Amino acid sequence: MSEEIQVRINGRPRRFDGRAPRTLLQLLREEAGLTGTKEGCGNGECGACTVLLDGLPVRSCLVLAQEVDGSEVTTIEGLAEDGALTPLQEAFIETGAVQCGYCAPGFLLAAHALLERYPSPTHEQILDAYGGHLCRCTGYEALFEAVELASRRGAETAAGSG
Amino acid sequence: MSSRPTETSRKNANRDTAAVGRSVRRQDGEEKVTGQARFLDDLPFRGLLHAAIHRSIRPHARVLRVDDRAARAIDGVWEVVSGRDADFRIGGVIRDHQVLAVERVRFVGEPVAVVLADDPVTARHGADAVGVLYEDLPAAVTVEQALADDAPLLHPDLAGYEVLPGYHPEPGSNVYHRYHTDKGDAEEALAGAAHVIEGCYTFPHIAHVQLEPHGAVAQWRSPREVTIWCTSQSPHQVREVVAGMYDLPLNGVQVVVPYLGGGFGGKSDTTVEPLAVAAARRVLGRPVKLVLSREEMFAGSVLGRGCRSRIRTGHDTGGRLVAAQIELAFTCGAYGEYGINVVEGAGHVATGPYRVDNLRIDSLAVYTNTPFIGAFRGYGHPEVHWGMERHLDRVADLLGLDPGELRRSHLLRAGDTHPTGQPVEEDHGDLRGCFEAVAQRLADVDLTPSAPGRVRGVAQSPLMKAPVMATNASSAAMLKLNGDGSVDLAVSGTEMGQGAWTALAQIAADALGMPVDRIRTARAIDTCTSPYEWQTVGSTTTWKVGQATRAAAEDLLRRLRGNAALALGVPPDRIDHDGDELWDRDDPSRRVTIAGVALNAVHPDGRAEGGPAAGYGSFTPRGLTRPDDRGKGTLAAEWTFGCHGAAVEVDTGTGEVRVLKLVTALDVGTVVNPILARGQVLGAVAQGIGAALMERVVYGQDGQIRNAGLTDYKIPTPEDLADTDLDVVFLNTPFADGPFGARCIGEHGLVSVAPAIANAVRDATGCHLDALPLDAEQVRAALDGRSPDRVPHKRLSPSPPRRPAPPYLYLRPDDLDEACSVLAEEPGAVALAGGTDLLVEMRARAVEPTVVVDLKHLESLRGVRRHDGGLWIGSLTTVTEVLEAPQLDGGLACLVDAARAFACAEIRHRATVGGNLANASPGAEFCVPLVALDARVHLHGPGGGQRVMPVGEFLRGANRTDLQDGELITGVEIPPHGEDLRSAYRRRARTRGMDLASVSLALVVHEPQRPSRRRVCLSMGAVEAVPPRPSAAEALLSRRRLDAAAVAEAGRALVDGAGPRRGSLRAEPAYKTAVLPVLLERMLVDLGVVEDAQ
Repeated sequence: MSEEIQVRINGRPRRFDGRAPRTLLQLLREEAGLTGTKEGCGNGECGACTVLLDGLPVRSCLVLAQEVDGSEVTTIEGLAEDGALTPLQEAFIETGAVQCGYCAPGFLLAAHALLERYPSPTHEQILDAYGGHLCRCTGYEALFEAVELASRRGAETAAGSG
Repeated sequence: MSSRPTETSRKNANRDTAAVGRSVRRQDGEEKVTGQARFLDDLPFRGLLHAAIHRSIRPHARVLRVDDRAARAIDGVWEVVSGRDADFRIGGVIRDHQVLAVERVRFVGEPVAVVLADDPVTARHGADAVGVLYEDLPAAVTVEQALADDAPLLHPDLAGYEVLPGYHPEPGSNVYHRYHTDKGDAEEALAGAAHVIEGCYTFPHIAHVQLEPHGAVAQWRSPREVTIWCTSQSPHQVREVVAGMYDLPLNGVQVVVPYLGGGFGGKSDTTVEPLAVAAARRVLGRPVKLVLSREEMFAGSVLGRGCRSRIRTGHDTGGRLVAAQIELAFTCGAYGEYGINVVEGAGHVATGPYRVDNLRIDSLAVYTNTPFIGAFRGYGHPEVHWGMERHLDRVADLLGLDPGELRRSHLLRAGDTHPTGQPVEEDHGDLRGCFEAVAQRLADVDLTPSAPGRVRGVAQSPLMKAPVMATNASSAAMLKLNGDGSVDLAVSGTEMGQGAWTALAQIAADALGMPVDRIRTARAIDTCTSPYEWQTVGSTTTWKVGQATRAAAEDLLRRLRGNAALALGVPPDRIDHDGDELWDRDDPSRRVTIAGVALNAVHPDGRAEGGPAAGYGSFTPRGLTRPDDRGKGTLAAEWTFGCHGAAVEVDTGTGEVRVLKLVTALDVGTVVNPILARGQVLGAVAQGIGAALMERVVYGQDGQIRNAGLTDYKIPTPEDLADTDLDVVFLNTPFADGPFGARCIGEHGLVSVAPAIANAVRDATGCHLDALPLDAEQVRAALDGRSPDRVPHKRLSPSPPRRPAPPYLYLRPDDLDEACSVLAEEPGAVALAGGTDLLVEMRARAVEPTVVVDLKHLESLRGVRRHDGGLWIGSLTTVTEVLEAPQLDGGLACLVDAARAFACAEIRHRATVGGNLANASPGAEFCVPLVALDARVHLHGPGGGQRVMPVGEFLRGANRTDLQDGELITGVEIPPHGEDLRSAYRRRARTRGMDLASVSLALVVHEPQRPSRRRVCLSMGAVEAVPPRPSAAEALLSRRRLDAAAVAEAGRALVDGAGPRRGSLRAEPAYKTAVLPVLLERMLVDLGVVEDAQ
């Protein structure tokens, strides 16, 4: 076993104690200073703590910190580049997909991973990505619209540049 | 009247540039999508100590002794505070609530002691180590028990409690408030009525489930000054409560509220704050944090609803409603808190939006040995509408009336009176317009069912909502103009997602006549600097704080004009302005910019006059009074009308209710921000659908909540709403007393949702369902003419004290034998595959490993491949990999079905087939189809020993397998099968989204096209400890032609022999028995084994 956890978080290499028992969620919030990742239940039931682990969305409350040694983690703080919002983040604001904002990091990372894989996702694919994420504020409609809007804009950008 | 739109502000709001009415981008959006919005638990503190609560495990008992010696002996524990040394009595209306129990506990979960420690884990350990000696008292968990003649009294000292005027406790009983009012003579009218109809309707306790749990950080700066950061919707109320506890001046209590992760009323009661304050008092200067776990949120914050409505109405021969007696009895829990006002408010509107000339209303606040209720979006109104709307549906059915016409003919009109005696006025809005808008939008719903065994129905339920508030519930706002022309807006109305800060900035912009992008609402509320706000409740922020903001704008403009007048040397009343400049009306060429005179008037020689322009404004609802001794008075300052309509499809086989369409029409006056307004309504509708179909706090007979947590308290998931047509219609009758004509909106979207859905279910099925929620279990029971068994009988054993988890050694072997030998040799070693079960067990301390052996790097155990005509699935294959495996084509569809049903994408990416088998849950998604497929498990032991056995033998019980020490599953082998194999796996769960299976069935058909050789294999999940193979049913379906009768016989055999015996929170055995044959029949049809069994 390694004395250290070496992990790239939002593109930067970081090192953490390899021995303390804790989850990835705790590591991110309490040691990496990344409080954008939220704990809603601690049991994998709500999706608020979702981050990307080597590109795949996972529930950081269900991952031991030691498991990410050698991996790449993306959190909500890692989406915007140089302070510029991604089209998806922009769409979340415009469509009203964000209300209280507590579930938003989880939904955003799930949607981000979806758009990386399927730039023009079907309704079913969005539903699949959002499955297991709870939002108590919006009734979900705007969360779907946000992905559709970002996807349309992505297609327009691609068409424009092509 | 300062609250009426003045000419100035109307003129200022240039229609082309007006912010009100536009979907202005929300102020806090960027912070929230980048993870920068700081919520309570995100705030940094130095020297922080952590608090944890020791909670009562008894519903009703005397506290004989609190023993904190063991807790104090723990390394890292600083203090233990119990009620004897922190005896504080609180309660806004009735002072009945001790912050920490002193002599008596009154519900399971009541705080008994607070433990302070260096870290949260040690604090929890300390709290678990506190010992309490109880002497049990008889408990009253239900409202029936609490109202019985011989009921145990929760508060024998009720007569001695301080109570605000206008509230009526009944000492010697558990009734701590009764709102009563009469109109006409209900008894006489009932005696003379042609028809008298009675009904009883119940709304259970439900939970707010804000995604952010409650929390507070308290820090005493001196013995007379404390700062509290907290998740409160009512910072000024927290201030008053804490000041009252320690007899502090109000300005000695600084309450700071950062971003709130949802409120819905549940953060308006004072709950965790006094506990954090009392604990922090012991460690002067150190900040102390208390954040509730998700599980603690259920008993440790507040609950909502909990109402039994008994309604008796009299009707003339034509069905006209001539009289009503309405008794509402609320299961209020152990303490009064805000529940008392829910009860009061419900009484004010107990008829719903209908004219009833002879009326008697009694609304009772009843103490019960349960957690207490508080404000919850709707505040008494959903409870009242559930009863009244269900009752009218019953009336229509019994008297053969059209339910729509019955309602239409009784809707309130201007000139009628509310039960409070207040007149209905034109500017309350267009109730009929809302009703007809919904009728029109339901008219085109296609009532053709989507499949056999489904039925459809529609119904509509109007609504009326008035905020319940103190008569002096005031708001205030402050605006500060900066030297560049930008404006800061400060309010104490909290932003909990509803968009208040954006809507208020829009109102400020139009009232100032300035572009909205110049207005920024201050992000944090601080009671020492932010202006007063009574509370952020009752949907009143846009209205009340909006009016205060408009008044503040007038004040600011007055000062700004003063500066301009000084600069231009003219009287202030000659100054006109637009969004950028001010000028002399008599000589418009003489102008100054707003920015130029924002701080003062500076003359050419440098001499300055005037001062920084700022504005203060306030608003107090006009004319509110306390109820008189007949329950009458000006009890509400705002009314909103609306209507919901629902179209549903009921699956008569499974009992599932699908909401096809949910229409909401609300007369909200001016819509300030269309996207925010729609968001408010849809969020409320979703909560209404949750209450209608799935939400219920389940108590055991011992008063303990059985479903405290999101595993078993279900709220609507994306899948539950994805196919529902959510239609929102706004009517716009301006509200004379609202900002730019705006009325309240936050709660209204759920008020009548549940009855609209229930009445649509009645329209579809003929079944009257009077107890919420209408979950599949209850609907199917009603269709069968049964009553579901809703009380769990299993007692929960008290959880053992939790020590801090021992540190584990984490190993990541890349060799199978090495992994096995570690597992064999190290006591306490556990295997980690996906971790999606193990981490849940570790969090609950059900598993405390000394060594964690991470198997993920054993590449040889991964993957799906063809194997001797059958299939091999490596144990470390993730569920996602199963879902995407090309080898799992048609024949093995049952495994794809199982993978698809498995939790959610994030969990599917981690969870493995081997982990699912090793966890051996009775409803494990893969175990069920693998049993039906006759799959065999391959095991690898230390020293290279191999074993192979059928899955059905490997599984030995609930969460028990045949795995020996050091053995690992290497994979499962599915035996060879014919090309024409067909299979399916179906399940039922409480939600359409992520949920554990209530019951499931796997069907595998070998040689489906040759009846004489056909072999059918079945397996059932969540019916026994191990998925059984129902051999009798299999035999009945194999080697013979199948007609409807044969299928029905097999269905009976399915549940006769190995019938479901295990009940759980997810489903009672009777439901499983009813549903399994339905699943079987449908699966046989879907697989083309029978044409159509109907």
